[in-house]
Amino acid sequence: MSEAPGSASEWELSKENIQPLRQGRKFASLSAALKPHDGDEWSKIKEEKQLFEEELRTYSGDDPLDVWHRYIVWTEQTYLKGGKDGSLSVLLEKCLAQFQKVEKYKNDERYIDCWIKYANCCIEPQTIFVFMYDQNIGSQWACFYESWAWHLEQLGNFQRANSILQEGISREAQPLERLKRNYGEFQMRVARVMVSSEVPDTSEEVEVQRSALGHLKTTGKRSHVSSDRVNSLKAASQGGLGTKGKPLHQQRGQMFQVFNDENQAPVHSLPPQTGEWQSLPQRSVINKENDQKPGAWTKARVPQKSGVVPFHAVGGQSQPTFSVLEEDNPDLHIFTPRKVGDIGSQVLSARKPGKQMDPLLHVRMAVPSNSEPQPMYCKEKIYAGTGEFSFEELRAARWRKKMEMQVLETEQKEMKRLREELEQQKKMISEQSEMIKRQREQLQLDHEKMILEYQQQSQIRQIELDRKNNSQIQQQQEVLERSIDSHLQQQINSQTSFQVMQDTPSSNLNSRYYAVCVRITYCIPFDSTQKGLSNGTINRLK
Amino acid sequence: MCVLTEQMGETPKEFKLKNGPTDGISAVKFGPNSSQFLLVSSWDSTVRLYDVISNNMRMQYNHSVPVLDCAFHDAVHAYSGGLDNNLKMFDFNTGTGTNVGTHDNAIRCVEFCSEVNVIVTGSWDATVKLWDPRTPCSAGSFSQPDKVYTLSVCGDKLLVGTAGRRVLVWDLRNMGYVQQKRESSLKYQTRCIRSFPNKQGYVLSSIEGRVAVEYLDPSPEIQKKKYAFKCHRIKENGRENIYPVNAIAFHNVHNTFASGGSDGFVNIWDGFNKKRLCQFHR
Repeated sequence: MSEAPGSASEWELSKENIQPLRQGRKFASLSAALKPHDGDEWSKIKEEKQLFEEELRTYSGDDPLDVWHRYIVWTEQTYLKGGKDGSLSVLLEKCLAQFQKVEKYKNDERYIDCWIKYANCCIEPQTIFVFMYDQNIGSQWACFYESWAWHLEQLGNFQRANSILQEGISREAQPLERLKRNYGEFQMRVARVMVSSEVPDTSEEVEVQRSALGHLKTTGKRSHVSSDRVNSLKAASQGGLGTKGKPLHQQRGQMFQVFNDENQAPVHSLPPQTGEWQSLPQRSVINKENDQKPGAWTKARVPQKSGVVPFHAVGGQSQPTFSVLEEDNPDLHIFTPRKVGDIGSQVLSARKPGKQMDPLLHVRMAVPSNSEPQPMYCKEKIYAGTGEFSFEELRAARWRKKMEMQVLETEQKEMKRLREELEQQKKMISEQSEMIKRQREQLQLDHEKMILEYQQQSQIRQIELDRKNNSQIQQQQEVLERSIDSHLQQQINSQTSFQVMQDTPSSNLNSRYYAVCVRITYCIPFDSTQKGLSNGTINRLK
Repeated sequence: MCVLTEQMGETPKEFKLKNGPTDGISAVKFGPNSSQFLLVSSWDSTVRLYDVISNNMRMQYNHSVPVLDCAFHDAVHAYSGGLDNNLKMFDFNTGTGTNVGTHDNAIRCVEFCSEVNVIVTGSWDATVKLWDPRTPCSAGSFSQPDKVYTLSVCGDKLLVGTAGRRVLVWDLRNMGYVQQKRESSLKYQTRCIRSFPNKQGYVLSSIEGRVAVEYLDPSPEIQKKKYAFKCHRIKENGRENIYPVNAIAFHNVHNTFASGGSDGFVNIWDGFNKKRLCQFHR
């Protein structure tokens, strides 16, 4: 923010030096261009210009106008004095000449823009517009008709401007809406001018100008015309050119009739498009006679016709075809001998077409012609744009471009390689994940199987165990029952049952067994028998 | 790429140096005291030192980008510059290179002035810079009207040829102002300027088949002697093809000079007698 007011004031200080543009200026480029010409900004501008020049020479795409147009717009924005210091007109001229024969650009908006810019920086823009119209350049664009009409309007040629805008509308130039709107605005402006200029018109009527080829009113017997020619004309004005509509009378004193071509088209209408105007109406061509190169005047010579006519021959030949007035006084009979040629035989020779007649010669540089010496190098590249390039610069530009391409290529290759690597890694990872998934599924399956097996096994074991237990219990029960039975029988038989107990084939001991034993021991009333029984059971346990 | 011609007693009159550069050659310079050593800079980013007598390459050093010009300082030191904007000094004894300084754009020409003992570089950034070879460091930058295309040292004078067909004469002892500002007497772009060994004038070649011989002394009677001539043109089917004249080299004793054109010929001229002495085959 601290810089903004500074640059604004800078702009404020040098407003007069800035040529306004129709499309306006960018503030950034404006403030850059206003900086002193040795600072960083200026070197940046020079660098950009150099880049544009280089691009002009190394462009290889199919739209070469693009570079030119960007360069032209940039020049216009950067150079403040109407692009003159950046040689805008040279640039435009070269651009127009280069693409004049390119069919696809004939109605390209950018190309038309260049033409209009060129017309704007010309002394006679009319010539350019007529040429464009003749060559059918830009006939589809509204901006062409608008700028042409605008220039005519500036000159006060409303009728022609009107017809041009109408022509544009009838050709449906794009954008048509804008053209129509502009036409409406133009009509409004013209109407306003007409209304405001009516007052001076009436005053003008009073001051009638003396017109040529008129008849003057005479007075007196000797038909003298008074010195007031304007007013004396007034009375006889019906004989002048002002009365076009009325039939002309053959009046007294008028020796010829002024021819009034009624078939002639009005001046403001457009000429037909002949397409025969081939060359670009450059300033150097139009103004050829006025653009003489400065040189030493003392050495200037008018070219003499070959064959010097001797003085006496001139004197002898000088018989004028008209009678020379002879003064009465013979003393003064001295006349300058002069050469008078035969009037009929001296036909004006047509001007020989010189080299300069083709204005594109020094623009396009290489005009194929058999007798002309031909430069054997890329002249159009050396002298493209406004500056010149040497071979080394061109080669360097090409080399840089190649390097850039190489860098780009290697980068792309690297990218491709990385991408491939990534892809591979991705593939690997996805494969691995698939494997893992498969393994997991396998594991799951295994797990389930194992669980199932385990369950089955445990079930089987349970069943076996149950069966075994049951059978054991049954066995033991049987044994016990048998032993009880035997005990009971022993009791009944009043005999100790130790023998029986020791003989029982019991292998497993369990609580039931104890319980049974305890029950049995309780049933035994004798102390000695109890001791003997417990000893016996312990032995068995071991 | 590299064909060298050499006038010598017994050895063949013309031979090709072995181990030449792999891309276009931008400059060839003989050593300061003898014609034994030849320094060659090339678009393949190398600067090579050849021993012409034994026909082998003695040394080679590299820039990162193409080299546009090179110059001997003395028998063992070379300076070179190119598209990398760097001025490089190389010591052949130690085989080491050092960056001396930079321009803002590519260095187009490098010359050594023995009378003032200074290295001069001209660049497309439209400046000429002087370098002191003793330190080595920059000894001043001097802006020119346009991109510098060619340089030539003429005693203690410096001739600068720039774009826009301008020729500037500087005094290397007093670089405060331009001694002479001239316009090339040729119509098209200046390709090369080389000064006469007798320091009276210079020869300027243009892109369109012409060479001008000009004199430094501004007095009218001397200036009257200047002239230009057409060369490096080939007539083909009734049409004249005009080729650029890319290089000029003087013989340091006889004041005769050679011009090399894009037509592939080398012509030897006697500038004072306005004669062509001979033409080398393609």
